Amino acid sequence: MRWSHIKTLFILSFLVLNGYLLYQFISKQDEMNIPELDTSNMDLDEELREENITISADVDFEVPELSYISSAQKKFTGSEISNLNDNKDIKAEKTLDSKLLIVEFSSPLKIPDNADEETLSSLVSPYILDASDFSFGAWDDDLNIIVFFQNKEGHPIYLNRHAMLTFYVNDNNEITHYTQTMLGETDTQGSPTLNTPKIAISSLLQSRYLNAEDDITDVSYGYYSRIAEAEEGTQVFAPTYKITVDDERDYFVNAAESSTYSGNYKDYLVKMLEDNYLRKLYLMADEDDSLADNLISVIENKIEPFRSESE
Amino acid sequence: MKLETAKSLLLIILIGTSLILTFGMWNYRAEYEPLNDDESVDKADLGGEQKQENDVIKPNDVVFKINGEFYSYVDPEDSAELFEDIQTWEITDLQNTDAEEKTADAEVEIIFPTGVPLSLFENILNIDRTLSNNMNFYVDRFYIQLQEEDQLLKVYFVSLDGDEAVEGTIHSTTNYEQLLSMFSNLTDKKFEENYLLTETARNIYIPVEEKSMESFKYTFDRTNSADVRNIMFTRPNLVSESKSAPESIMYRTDDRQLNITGHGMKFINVAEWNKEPVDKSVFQQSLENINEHAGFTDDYRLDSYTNDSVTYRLYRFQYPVINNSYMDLSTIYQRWQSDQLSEYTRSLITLDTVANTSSKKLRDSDEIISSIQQSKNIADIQDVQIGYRLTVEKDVNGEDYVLLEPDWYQRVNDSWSAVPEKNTGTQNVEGGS
Repeated sequence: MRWSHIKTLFILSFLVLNGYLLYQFISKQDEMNIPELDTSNMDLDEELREENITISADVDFEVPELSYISSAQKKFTGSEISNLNDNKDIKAEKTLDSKLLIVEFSSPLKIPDNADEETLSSLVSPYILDASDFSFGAWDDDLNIIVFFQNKEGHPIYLNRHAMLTFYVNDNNEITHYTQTMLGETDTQGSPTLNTPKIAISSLLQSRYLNAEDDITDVSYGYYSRIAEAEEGTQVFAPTYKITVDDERDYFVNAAESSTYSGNYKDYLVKMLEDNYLRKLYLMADEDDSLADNLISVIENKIEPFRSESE
Repeated sequence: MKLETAKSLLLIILIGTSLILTFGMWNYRAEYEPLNDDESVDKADLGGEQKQENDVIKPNDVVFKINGEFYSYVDPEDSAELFEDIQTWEITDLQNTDAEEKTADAEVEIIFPTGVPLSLFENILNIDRTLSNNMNFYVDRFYIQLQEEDQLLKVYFVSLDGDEAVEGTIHSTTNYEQLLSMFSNLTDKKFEENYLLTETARNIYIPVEEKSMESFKYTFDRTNSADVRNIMFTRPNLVSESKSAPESIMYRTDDRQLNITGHGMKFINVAEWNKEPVDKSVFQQSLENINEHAGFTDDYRLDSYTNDSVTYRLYRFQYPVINNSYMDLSTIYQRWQSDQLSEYTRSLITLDTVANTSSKKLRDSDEIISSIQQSKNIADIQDVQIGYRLTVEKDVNGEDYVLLEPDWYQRVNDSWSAVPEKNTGTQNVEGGS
């Protein structure tokens, strides 16, 4: 009977030991969990409620598996230009560095009233090189310019002067010209762990981009680069959430590092046209190029009211 | 009997769970760690020394003024030694005073390359507090006066705009005697006379004696580009590398860019964060940041101080070194936006050993003084110093070496250039890389 007593004693002591171990284990788990993301999600919901900010977009989708990618600008070839010129409705040329394609419609292309993104895409695609690589980006009312973003690895490159289709629309809602830039082959840089869309929204809130009563209407993802001024060399694009607020303001939030940028299309386009496209067009115009001349006057008229003050 | 089997079973289960829990606790850490520092690599550093405020803020001139005459040590090493002494002198009884009060027959003027907030002197001198709560109280020099009747020393700080002044006292007969004995020995050959320029942006003293100095050829070390990349980027695996020119490497991510050309680097960070205001000055932030990667690879001293940027300049034998090439090889420059380092340019070379010296006669001080006085922008000239022009040259074997050549330099708009040759009107050509 002694063995039975010992057993009881063992059972009791192991019960105590297990209780202690369980307590240790749980407290350790709590301690480790502080930087984990669930807690910040709870704070986010609370903070959003306080500010009366609503999320009508779907934000519970799976965190995308995107890598950082790098790419340099593509040079358009002579045969690409002549292929485009086979189409009698347009006249295409490239700038001296072959990186910017400029196209003029012989008769302006009428945009139907209330055109949605799909009508727009199918309207312009017959006139465009690699049309399937581009998707609708934005229509800026101030400049009356429509931009399409180039897709890489299946996702758009947001607002980048080196990967963009730009349509110049006149007052009669007709496209008179367009310009095109493209990126070449991409390399994969690295694949860090990406944040959830909710964390991206939370960084937006912390950067004070969200106001009370705002509604987050859309969250999608693609690539974005902040360093674009350099003509030469490779650009690196980070996996980025595009967050649309009230269907009118877009923000870009780096999905790995949470840096946040306001997507001011008008300012970006004015700067891009001033610093980059116009400069190349003037070089062409120096060689008595009528197409370039026409486009210059179109662009100058568009950006005139918004020119940076230093000029 | 049945009870006994149940007890055995229970005991086995308990032993099992305790094992599982113990094991779980051990393993929990391992599961977490890779998340903590994903893909980070061993941090490289530049192998420099840790520097504090008082290591990088040092005077360019120490001038003895008596009866309208000005003297300084011929050898700047002596001036540096005297300043080190002064740093230990205990300054007490600080109080606000009127700038006009400051008159004496004998005083020492200690002049720094750039204006800094007065409060910084708490870290440079032996002083409790500097009294000034005014953040705009900038000083670029201070004065020590001999008070004969009380056998003590008075210290004066006058703000750059001249509106405010603070005085302190050094109650030490030893310190008083030490300074007094220097004043009675000014005719010694250790000292030379100085000429005072007052039409310039600030008072400038120019030593008048003819000087011959050495030019130096140095071998040098250059920091490895990959090490710099690992310092500047938290996740090097995200960085794209491209070579645009033979001696130029570009490292880039979506918001950071590091360009290494020749022997210098330029880093920019355009990331936008929710920036928290910081209670540290840009100067303190830059010291901490540079110390983190041991970036003070030589005798670098504070050369310019603004609200959002600081520049440190290389000194050799107590003289400033000037390069002025596209990638300036004589400076470290940092610009900050709140807590973010937004720009960082610096030299990546460290002078190693002297390979060769030769003697060079400097232009006569009369020539320098008249060149300055004829200068159209005399009111903008902030300083005149003897400095070394740094250039990177190739020897007969095609090996790069650094040449340091002494010359007279003037400072306008915080940038140094050689004092123009007399009667030519054109600026001296600056050293290229």
